[in-house]
Parts: sequence; C-alpha cells; structure tokens
Amino acid sequence: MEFEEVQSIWGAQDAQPIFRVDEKELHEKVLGRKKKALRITNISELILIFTYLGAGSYVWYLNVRGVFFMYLMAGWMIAMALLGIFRRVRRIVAGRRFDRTVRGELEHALAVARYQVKLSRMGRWNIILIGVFCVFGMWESGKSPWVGVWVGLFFVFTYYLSGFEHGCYKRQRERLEELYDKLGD
Amino acid sequence: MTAAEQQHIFESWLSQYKGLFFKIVRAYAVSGPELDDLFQEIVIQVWKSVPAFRGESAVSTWVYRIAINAALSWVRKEGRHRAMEDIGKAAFVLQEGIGQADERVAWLYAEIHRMDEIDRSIALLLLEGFSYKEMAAILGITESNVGVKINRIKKRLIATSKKQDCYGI
Repeated sequence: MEFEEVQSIWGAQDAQPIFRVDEKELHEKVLGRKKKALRITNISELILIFTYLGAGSYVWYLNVRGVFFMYLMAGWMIAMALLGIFRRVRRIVAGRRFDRTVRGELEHALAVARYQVKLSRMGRWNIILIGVFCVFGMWESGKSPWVGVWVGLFFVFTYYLSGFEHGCYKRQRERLEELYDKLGD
Repeated sequence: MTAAEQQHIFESWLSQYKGLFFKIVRAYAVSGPELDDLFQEIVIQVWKSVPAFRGESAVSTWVYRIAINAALSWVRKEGRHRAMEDIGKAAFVLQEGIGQADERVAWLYAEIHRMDEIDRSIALLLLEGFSYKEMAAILGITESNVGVKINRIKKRLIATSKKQDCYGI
C-alpha cells in the first residue's frame, strides 16, 4: 500500500463520522469541569497559604516567653505563606497564555515540573528545619527530653513519607524530559 | 470580547472541527470513558483559547495546535485515571455516530497507537494533509526536523500496511 492510499483511508472518516455529540450533555459537563478544576486549584492553594499564615502567626502570638527558636519557626512559616502567594500569582499569569506550540507547551510543562521538584525538595528541607526549631524550642522552654525525642521522631517519619511525593514529581519531570527529547531528535 | 461572542465563535469552531477532535481523541484514548474525557478536555481548551486567537494563523492550525496540546497534556496528567473513576457515573457526551466500523481505519488507529505521543501528533498532522511549514508552526520545531520525522513515520506506515495487505486488508 502506498502512502496516498493510507491517507485516503484516513480521509474516508470525514464522510461518516464515528461519533455524534450530545450537545446538552457536553454543555453541562464542560461547565461543571471548568468550575471544578478552578475550585480544586484555588482551594488547595488557599489552604496552604492560610495554614502557614495562621500557624506562623499563632506560634508567634503564643510565644509569650520569647523562645528564640519558636520565633524562627513562626517567621519561617510566614515566609512559606508568602512564597505560596507568589506561586499563585505566577500560576494565574501563566494560565493566560495559549499561543504555545507543542514545543513551547512542553517547555512550559517541564519548567513547571522542575519547579515542583525544587519546591518539593525545599518542602522536605522545610520539614527538617521546622522539626529542629520545634525540638530546640522545647529544649529551651524546659520541656522533658522525651517529648523532644517523640516530636523529633514524628518529623523524621514525616520526612520519610514526603519522599514518596517527591519521587512522583521527579518521575513526572523525567517523563517530560524524555518526551521533550523525542520532539527534538 | 464578550462572553456571547466567545460562545458564538466557539460553537462555529466546534461544529466545523469536531471531526478533527474525534480523530485526535481516537488517536490518544482507547476506552469509552477515556474518549469522552479527552473530548471534553479538548473542547474546554478550545473554548478557553477563543479570546487569544488573533487571526495570525489559519483557524485550523490554531484549533489543531490547541487540541494536540490538550491531548498531550491529558496523556501526561491524570486524565486517564480520572476517566476510569468516572465510569458509570454519568451519561457520555460522545454517542455512536453514523460511521460504520472500517477495519482499515481501525488498523490505522492501531498503528498510530503504537507510536509515542510526539510521533502520534505528527502522524495526525501528516494524514490531515498539513504542510511542513504548518506542522513546524504547530510543533515549534524546524521544517527539516519535521521532514526527518515524517519520513520515518511514512516508512513505518507503508511497511506495516504491506504486512496488512498479506492478510487481505
């Protein structure tokens, strides 16, 4: 079979479309999905921002004895909230662009994936840092060493679990890099 | 652009290019829920893209670019899983049309499915009759790179079609 014949087989579909569209169902589903996608992204971002902001401010407010490490932890949490706001603005601005080619779209997806890997790595270091601030804060305020040990173990366990999420982001980035290389070869 | 204008343009694009969307959907998805999910994703992306269209390229090039990007993004993300979760939850948007099952078309789609995502998009553009220049504009790669990939795809399709000839297709 020559390529022109293959192309004519392909073109034959136009005369008899294999599907028809239920316009009413489409309209309802599209509207629903648009709202849902926006809601999920908005809610998860806002939860992250308000949790860090709320927890940071609360720790600061509760620290009546002026424990240095508690101030550090509170400051760090507030900085994370600000970073969340920055990410949100970046996402909204990036979402307005539509005139990308396939390569451009992949580059954008790859940039986002790399950013996610960096952010997730930073998040893991964040767990260690907050854990250290917390344990030292307890030590400074005279809590039993055993409480410090348990709290420390909790943070170590959380760090271990966060490795799974980090692995997912890395695999996604590798997959995109592979796809990008295929486009260029 | 007002919402009414956007809706009007979108409806005319949908009516004109839905056949093209069906082909992309069949090239990237397999099961009923997947087909439905990807079709909806493409439609949403096309609808969103209407205000950004400045007429600098042909509408077909624009629509194809958006649809291919939506399909590639759908494959990369969790679209397939979401589609599988939705089985049996609601009515499908895509219904069976008037077209009869053609085994040669089925063979062609099976061949396209064996390609990686990038080659799939190039095969679709090639079969639709886009020029090298248009394909380069859609994909964001050079025309010579398009040429290399097309030669590879053509050779592959011709070689497998010859095997199919032996089985009477």
